[in-house]
Amino acid sequence: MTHLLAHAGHAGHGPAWPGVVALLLLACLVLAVDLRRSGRRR
Amino acid sequence: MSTVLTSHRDHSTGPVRELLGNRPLQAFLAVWAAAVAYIALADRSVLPLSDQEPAAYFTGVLGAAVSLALLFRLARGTAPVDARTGPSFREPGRETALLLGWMALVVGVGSLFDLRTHIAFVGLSEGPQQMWDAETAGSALAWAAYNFLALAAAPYLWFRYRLGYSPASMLLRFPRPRVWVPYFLVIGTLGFVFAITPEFTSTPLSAHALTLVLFTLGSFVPIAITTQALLAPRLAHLSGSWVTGAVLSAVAYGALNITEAFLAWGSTPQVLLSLAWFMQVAFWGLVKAITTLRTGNAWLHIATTHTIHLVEAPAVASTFDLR
Repeated sequence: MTHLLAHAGHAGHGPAWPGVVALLLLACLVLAVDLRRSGRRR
Repeated sequence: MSTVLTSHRDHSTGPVRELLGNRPLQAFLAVWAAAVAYIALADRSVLPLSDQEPAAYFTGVLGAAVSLALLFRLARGTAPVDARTGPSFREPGRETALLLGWMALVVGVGSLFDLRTHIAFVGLSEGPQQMWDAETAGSALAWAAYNFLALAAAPYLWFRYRLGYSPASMLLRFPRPRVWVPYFLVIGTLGFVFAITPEFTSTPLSAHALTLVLFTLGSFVPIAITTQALLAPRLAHLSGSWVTGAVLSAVAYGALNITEAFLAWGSTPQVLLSLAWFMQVAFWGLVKAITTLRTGNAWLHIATTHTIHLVEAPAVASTFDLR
């Protein structure tokens, strides 16, 4: 199992970028929906 | 900004119908089921720590379903938290985007220092111990401190004192304690006793206490504040449905845990299996958000999904040299 841990990094964690991208995309989606709604209200 | 938990809806059967008839939830569960099948059939050795027996994990899924069934029974007579019945928000869209951006920053900055949201994902049978073997007392304390400051203290202080939201509007009260305190104790205990090992019973009391403190600071409270108290009710408000809000919260929770040791994205088989495991992590985010939004209580998800971490006491004892 040692080689698998080494494969994951010395502290054993995967890369952050997929989560960062997903969270930022979700944030953009929320803002887009919010802007569209506030545009309709006006 | 008060939480109103009564309306003219039929609260005994309405929320169940809303749950079962929700299209985003149906889509989520279809993808989740496909992911389960993929994990069962695929070559799991392509990912680190992933080639292990997942039977215990799926037993936990069954336990969560039973816990939620009981929760729905006990919550009859109260409305779920949505745009009609939940707290009112000043700028829900901007506040939600701010939260999601903050979560992205916390994940990104944390990864630079080997700090992740889960110190170990307990769902995989032998995985947690191997991950704990790579930890020291210092790294475990740093993990707890980082998550507490970044996902509990900072967001709470900002929303409480900068934006002026009351604890009630953050679902941080504990309504109907005569119902939910016994539920919390019973379900929270059942959530980890099945995973107790012989080492657990011989672990010193000090290690059990430290485990409780460590996970309260590093996991229970941070997840309660950021994802349950702040994010889930806003997503329910914005989407117009508490169930859709729970599904969106689930995806955000999965993304927050993207640095799990068993996820990697270097090849097509790794990406497919990582996506399948991502759906499993997101599933627990779904159970958390359904718990929160159905009851209006941001603490109860600790009982339905989080107390499993208490079985890590032997690993904590070893890491902190408590014998």
